[in-house]
Amino acid sequence: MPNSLFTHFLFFYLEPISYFLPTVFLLYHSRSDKRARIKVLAAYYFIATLLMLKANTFNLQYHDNIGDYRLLNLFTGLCMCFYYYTSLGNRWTKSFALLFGFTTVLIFITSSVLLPNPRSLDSYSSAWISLAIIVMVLFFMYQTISNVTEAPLASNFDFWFVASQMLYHSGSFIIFLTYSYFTKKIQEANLYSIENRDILMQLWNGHNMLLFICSVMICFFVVWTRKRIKN
Amino acid sequence: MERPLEELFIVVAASAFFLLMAVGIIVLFQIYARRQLKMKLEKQELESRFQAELLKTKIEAQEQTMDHISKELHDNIGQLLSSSKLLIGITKRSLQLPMQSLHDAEETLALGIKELRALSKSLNKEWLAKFNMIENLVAEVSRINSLGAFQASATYPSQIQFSIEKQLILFRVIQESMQNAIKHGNCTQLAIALEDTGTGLRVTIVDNGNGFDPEDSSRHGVGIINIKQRVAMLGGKVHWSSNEAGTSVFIELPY
Repeated sequence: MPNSLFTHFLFFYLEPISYFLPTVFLLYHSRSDKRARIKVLAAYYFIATLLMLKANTFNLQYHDNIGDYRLLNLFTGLCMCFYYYTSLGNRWTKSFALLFGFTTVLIFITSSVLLPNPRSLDSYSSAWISLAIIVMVLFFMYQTISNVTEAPLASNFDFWFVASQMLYHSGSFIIFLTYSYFTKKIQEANLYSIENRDILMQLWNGHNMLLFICSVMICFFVVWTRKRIKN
Repeated sequence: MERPLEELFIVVAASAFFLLMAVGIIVLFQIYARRQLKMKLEKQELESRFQAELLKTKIEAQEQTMDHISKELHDNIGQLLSSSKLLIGITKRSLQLPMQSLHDAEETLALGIKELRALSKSLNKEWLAKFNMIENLVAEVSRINSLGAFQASATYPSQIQFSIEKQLILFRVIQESMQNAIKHGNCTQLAIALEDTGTGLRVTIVDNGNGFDPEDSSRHGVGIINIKQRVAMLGGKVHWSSNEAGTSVFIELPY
């Protein structure tokens, strides 16, 4: 059995920390990079930090933080829609970004207002967000390779941010589907035992660790690209 | 027993996932770097083609200017000198005992007209194109020798394996070098040697002037820049060797 304090930290605190770190570094980065999408990213991570603090610490006694995660999905959808809409150049890829933003709003309304009870929709909506972001990352990578410039790729902060998104959402996509699978099995068997709880907890801890690694990646590349540009 | 196996599987799967991502990023970098290199090479090629076109245009403009000057010399100044010579001739014939100074003036004018015509021809591209480079070089050496203050000589092969266009460009290079030696070098002797090396042509122009510093590009005039550009256009190389005893220009041109 893993150390319960460590597991507790992974489960409850790592997620808000993982959103807080990029907030600080992106705010620092926005001082030199005045583009709107950097400011939007900083705002998104700030809102996500507050939501996750509320979801993982303040709401513990209620054990129901699904509303916070639905809001997080909504903000993720809107922010990433804006980010990729401003990053991508092609009409079709921009339309996909808009469509993605529209679908996240639709999913939020459906899951929060119209059909709040089927909780499995939340895992599928998270999986859809991850899948759509993976597609937009691939659009971005294709666009980058097709429009080569003289500036070195390693100094491009957008490239590194998108790479971290690819890393996080590729893993999350699998984790959300697996989470949904195990949740369904447990619900069907009507057997929410400690073992089953541990499986779900470990999955979520895996998600949080992946989120933390990607956050550290964003923070590192904020500093690295700034140094390279200065030199 | 199953738990450790499960955990091992998760660790292996997670490691494979991260490795795949890292490999993907490395591959992306490689593709980007290759395309960036290709783009840089294409840009360099475009730039050199642009420079070559620019040089060609510049040389054409220079030839047009020289043509214009040649025509003005012949039609304008040449006519004025010819008229002056005619008037002196008439004055001489009207006098019973013409002064020696009138004879001298008429002869000097005749020489001036002859030299002006030679200079005008040396600037005229259409005239030069009627002859090959060796004939033009011989004419230019004669013209310089006729000034009296210089002693110029030329050695050359029986024929030059260049097109008429290239011969004209080479002639302008030699002409410019000779003018530099006379105007800036204050030389009295000038030797031009053309040698067929089998794979190309070697041109050497030696004078006994003051010399100059070939390394000090800030003191180089338009003439030296023109020489470098024209030799580059012919695909050749040029370098100078100079001291107080004189200057040598070495030009290597491939066939």
